[in-house]
Amino acid sequence: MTLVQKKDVEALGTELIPTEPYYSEAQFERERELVFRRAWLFAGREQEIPNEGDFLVKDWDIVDASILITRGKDDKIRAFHNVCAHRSAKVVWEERGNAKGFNCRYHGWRYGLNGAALSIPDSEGFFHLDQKNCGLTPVHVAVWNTMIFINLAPEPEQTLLEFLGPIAPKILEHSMQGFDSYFTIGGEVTVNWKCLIDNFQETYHLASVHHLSVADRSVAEANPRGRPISFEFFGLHRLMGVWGNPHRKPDLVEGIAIRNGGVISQGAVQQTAEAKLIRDPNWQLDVHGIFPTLLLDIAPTFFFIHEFFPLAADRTRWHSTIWFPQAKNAGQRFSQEYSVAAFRDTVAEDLAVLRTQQKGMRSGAKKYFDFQLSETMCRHSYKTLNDYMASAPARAAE
Amino acid sequence: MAKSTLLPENFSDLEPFAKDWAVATMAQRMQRRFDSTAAQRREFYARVAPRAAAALDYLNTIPFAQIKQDSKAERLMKLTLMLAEIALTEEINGQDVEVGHALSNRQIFVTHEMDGL
Repeated sequence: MTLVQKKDVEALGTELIPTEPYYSEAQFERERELVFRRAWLFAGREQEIPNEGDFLVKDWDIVDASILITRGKDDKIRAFHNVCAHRSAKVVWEERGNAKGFNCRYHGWRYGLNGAALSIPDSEGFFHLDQKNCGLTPVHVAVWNTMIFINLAPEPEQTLLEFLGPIAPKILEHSMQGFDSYFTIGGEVTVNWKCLIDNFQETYHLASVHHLSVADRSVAEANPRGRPISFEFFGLHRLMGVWGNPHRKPDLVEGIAIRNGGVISQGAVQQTAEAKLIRDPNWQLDVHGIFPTLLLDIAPTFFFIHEFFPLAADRTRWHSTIWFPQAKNAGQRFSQEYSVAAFRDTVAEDLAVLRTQQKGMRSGAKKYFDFQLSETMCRHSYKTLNDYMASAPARAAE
Repeated sequence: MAKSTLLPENFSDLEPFAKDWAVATMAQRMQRRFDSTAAQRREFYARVAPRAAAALDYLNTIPFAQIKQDSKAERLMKLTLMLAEIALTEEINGQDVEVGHALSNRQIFVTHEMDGL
């Protein structure tokens, strides 16, 4: 069994990290301009909009952007500002659905799946109307490996593939094909977006926060504080191999769920179709951190996509989507239900602690975080965030 | 014992739970869990958990897409899915509706789930 060692991560530095950027309003303003108006942002999977007319709406409140993503009659995926060309009202209010077109409820302007303005009531009453120029404002969109990303810059500084860089081939080592069935859970928490992400990308908390529930998946005598088995860093992005306990004994119903299809956090993955990927017999799952706000956790029988939407310096909305193969029978369906419910419970434990963190930081009692070895992804996130903001072209940094 | 009317015949012992616990969606199952008392959960688990393997073995003999067309099988499926919630309280969370230090699950929303069942 290999676990990460200090020498593996010392190149990233070992210094204390200031808490101030995790609560400051000024920092939040900088992130707005220097991160969220520049970076490629994950917006969903193609499988969420498989058919003509399917659409998704994603709101990035930090940049006041509501983005409508559609699949058109030509099967093409497009993204638009969800803003009416007439008086800037929000056009689509649902989070997802299927439609032939979209009506703005304010004055009834109608748009097609391709964003074109299809009809404008009493158009004769306008003074300068040119219907060809009244479509929804397009947003840069790119699809890679079933994942849809958008970019809110007038002209993106990099293509999506340039932005993903060397973590792209790492992700392709796993197959995301065949995982077409999903559950999404989410909510809002009074905590800074970076703290919320950090919780999902470090294993140090597992033994404590989850000691009554799921800690024994990732903690055991051989690894009492759940150290990861690997870290790899790829510019802005990062990867952690999570250790799994191969010896835990499931309870009755959990065991039934495992036998019927494989369950989230069942401990180490034994021989499976993905065995070639197992770098260590104690491998449980890989956590891919894609800058700035996407976590992609891949295990052989499921994967998670965690999305984080900053609302304010001290408030974040999150979604976790759990992707499975389409259930072929009742047993697999039961296994999926159990997995999602168990994950919900696990997150509830995390959120309870996270919401205490914001006041703690603002109190000024402690000026620094001391990230330890198992929290190296958090350190990497902090450093790359600073690097990325510093790399902004002069125009964005104004 | 009264003749089973709501569940497949070999599962008539679960009839007392069929009416109130076989709800349609994960969001409703979550709600049902939080609306239950500790005693109700304990009884549900004690009676349904030992039958879960047999229930899934039976349901696995029915092509998945057809379960919805058989109201008794569908009800048994929903009852078994409800056990996923209650197994967590009874097996994992020390018979509390959720771990004592957790933020209420009521602040977590299920915004998309698999169709049907």
